[in-house]
Amino acid sequence: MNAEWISRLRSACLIGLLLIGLTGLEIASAFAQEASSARTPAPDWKLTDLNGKRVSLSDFSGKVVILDFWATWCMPCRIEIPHFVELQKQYGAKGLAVIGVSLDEQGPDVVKRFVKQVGVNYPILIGNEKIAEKYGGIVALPTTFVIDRKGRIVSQHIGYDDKAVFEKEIQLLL
Amino acid sequence: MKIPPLLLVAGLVLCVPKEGTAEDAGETYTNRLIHEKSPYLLQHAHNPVDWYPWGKEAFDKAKKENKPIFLSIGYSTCHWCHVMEHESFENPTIAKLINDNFVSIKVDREERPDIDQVYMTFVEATTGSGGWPMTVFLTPDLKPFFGGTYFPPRDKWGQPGLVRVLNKVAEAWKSDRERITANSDKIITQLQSAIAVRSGGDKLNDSVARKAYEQFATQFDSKFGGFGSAPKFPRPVTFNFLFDFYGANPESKEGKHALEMSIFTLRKMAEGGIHDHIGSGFHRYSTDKLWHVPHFEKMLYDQGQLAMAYLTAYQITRDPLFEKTTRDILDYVRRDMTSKEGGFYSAEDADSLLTLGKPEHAEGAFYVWSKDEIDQLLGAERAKVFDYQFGVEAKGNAAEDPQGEFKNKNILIQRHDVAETAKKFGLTKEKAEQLLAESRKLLFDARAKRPRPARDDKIVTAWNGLMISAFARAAQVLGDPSYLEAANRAADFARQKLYRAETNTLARSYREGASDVNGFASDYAFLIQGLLDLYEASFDVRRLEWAMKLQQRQDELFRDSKDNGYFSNSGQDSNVLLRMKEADDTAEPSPNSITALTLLRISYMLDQDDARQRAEGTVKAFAKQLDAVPSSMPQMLVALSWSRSKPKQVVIAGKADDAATQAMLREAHRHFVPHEILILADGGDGQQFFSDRVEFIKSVGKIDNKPTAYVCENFVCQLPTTDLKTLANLLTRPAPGKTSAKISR
Repeated sequence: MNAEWISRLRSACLIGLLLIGLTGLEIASAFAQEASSARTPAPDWKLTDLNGKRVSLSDFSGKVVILDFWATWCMPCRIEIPHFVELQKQYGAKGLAVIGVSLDEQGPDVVKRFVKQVGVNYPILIGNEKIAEKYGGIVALPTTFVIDRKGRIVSQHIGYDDKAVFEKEIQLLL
Repeated sequence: MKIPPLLLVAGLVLCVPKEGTAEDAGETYTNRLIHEKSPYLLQHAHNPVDWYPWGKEAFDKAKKENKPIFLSIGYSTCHWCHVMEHESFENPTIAKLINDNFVSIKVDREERPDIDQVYMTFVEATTGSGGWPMTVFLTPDLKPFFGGTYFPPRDKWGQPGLVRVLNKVAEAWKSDRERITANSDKIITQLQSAIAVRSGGDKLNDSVARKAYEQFATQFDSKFGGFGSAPKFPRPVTFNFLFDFYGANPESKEGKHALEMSIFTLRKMAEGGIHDHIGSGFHRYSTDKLWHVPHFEKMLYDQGQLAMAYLTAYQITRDPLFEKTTRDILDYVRRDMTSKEGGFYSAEDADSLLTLGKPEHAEGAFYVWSKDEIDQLLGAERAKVFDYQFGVEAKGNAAEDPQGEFKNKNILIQRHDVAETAKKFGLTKEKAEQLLAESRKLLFDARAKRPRPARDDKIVTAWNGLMISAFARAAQVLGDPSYLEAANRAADFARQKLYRAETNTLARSYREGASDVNGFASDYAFLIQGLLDLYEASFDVRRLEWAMKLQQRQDELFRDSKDNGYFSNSGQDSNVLLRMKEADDTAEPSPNSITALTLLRISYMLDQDDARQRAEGTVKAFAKQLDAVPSSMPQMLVALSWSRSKPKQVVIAGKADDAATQAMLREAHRHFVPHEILILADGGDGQQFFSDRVEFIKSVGKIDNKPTAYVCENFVCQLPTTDLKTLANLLTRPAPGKTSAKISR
């Protein structure tokens, strides 16, 4: 990955960036789930995990997916991840699949160290420009998509959100 | 105590020359102030009044002889303090009256702001107003029972003179001692409970900033700038609030107006007589509403704070006037107010001798000019341009001159901008500027031959903190390495000479050695702020480490762990009868306001939750006053604003000595970003310092071997960038909200 594609991402169109002006951890984010009929399919992709294994979105068909774009240098991302670990533990059996896509520039070793430290219990994949472009251009982290069992995008979260926010959302979908 | 003859001679040789001292023929007096280091105290060492410094010797004498204490508090640039000294303390008859009936103590309020605060509280509470010189009568156990400010020697215009007051108090003490003593006990108890109630509160109204803005808008003088009527003080904390308010509301009518009020006022001050157009720097306040006729003393704490206000004005407007004014102030301090070792002196007096060797002195003598003088020095061509530009008139230009001090004298005030002046005389702008620059130099050199005003060369820790901030921020925004050097030297001086490593404490001041007096809350708070600002200019983490150690000590010594907020003194000195938490931001910010802000900055830099809680607790401790009169605490409102609107956290990966990294750091500093934290991830010790405390910094690195900026705000992180324009855009656009949005395509 090089810096050029990052700047190209930046000029990719920003979709649905409404400035709601929320501040602080205390305020629950306001979000609305797209009505079932209006949801668009989540683009498929193939990425490599930390062990070199190739993974596709279609591997998780039929599950509710939390697709989380993050990086180890992103503090709000690091705060969220233990929450995702908890959600995976609680709802994995019911059909939840959390997937993390790291946009770290420094390579998989940095990511591996963090993942081991935190005890991440879901797949962590190394992201690339293709997937970022497919998902409308990632300009800020964390950016998290929630995808329903039919493989359609339900919502996009930009920035940190409390565990309770995601929990409420997936409960409606599971 | 007998004064050894050698010491007496040494004292006479070393004494600071006092303007206008009339020594009685053949009689020279020397009192115990001769052993003191404060220039203000030394100025009184040859008064016939038998002055003692504040301390055990005086207290014991008062107790032993059962005499009340005559306490006089002032400072070296205080004009009316000089007047009272000249009229009363140099008068042997009045001195005898004092010496027979009282034990006299003189205090320099800049050395002992804690003592000053106790008795000022008393004087304000009992008379409705305060000021200096402060004159207070105390029982032998230091409790005040009567006080005021300046007293003329004899009754004047219905006001009692000092002689009458002294006689009355002496009589009352002889006949009514028990009642006086009982009253004084009651007074102190009442004051103690009054100040305890003053702070407090919990919930803060959401709209206090808006209310403060409205209060300032009401006070704003839209014709001449400034707030309120004459005398007008710069009070730079006002600008700090208004700039922040603008930063939080850049698009609203109120936000824009807040900016306008600041810019207009700063411009008017820069043009005014309160600005020394020949030697640079600002005088302490303007006696008129026009910012024209100043009170001529120059105080270090004004220079530091004003330099920062002009710097922010420059960041926002890019108006070269503001950059020039910042530089002028800093160059003045470097040239005239810096010790050989790099510490900064406190003040320059308003008065000076008219001629060397003769006792006559006058306010502003050093700074004012007759038209003839100017015309003679400059020659016709320059003089006509200069006189026009700076409002020089044959009969003098001080329109409001109640004391008649400036007859036929001119106080330079910029009447026109250079373009106008050039046009008037058919010159190019460059030619006009050249003539003006030459003129200023000629006048500067001529003025240097005049007797200088006395300089108080005490080095006060708190005020050095403010100055370190000013030089550091100027280095950041203007990219001038010489300003960084000045900040570093001053910080090194503070470390070596004002700091006692064994106890992790600060001294209040330094003059020919560090003072025995321990630092107060403001000494810690302002120096800590200076070190944070210095870190963001130099990226030397040792400055941060030291700041954190000092913060820990400040918390131990001054913090009210029960009700939050910081007391101004440590409470360890039982002779200081009140322990107060300063709230008001006046000519200087209160230590509470500054500490709240620095704790927040530390909490964001180092992800320290307890620092954030202490900061928020400090703000809340003053909720009552913030709700009632928010315009009395503008600097605290800045801290409140930081706690509500979290800063942009900028981490730049690169090396401090590398040109490309420096270019990126300069870009990060160039813009007006109301709340910003800047960290350098240098791939070495600096980065290690941070990653030991904040894990994610470990992962910050250069991309493509170029300096890279990682910008996060409000729990959203932008993707890292190596492009300066992108960085500029990230810093200056409005805050991204966190969003959770429906996908609509």
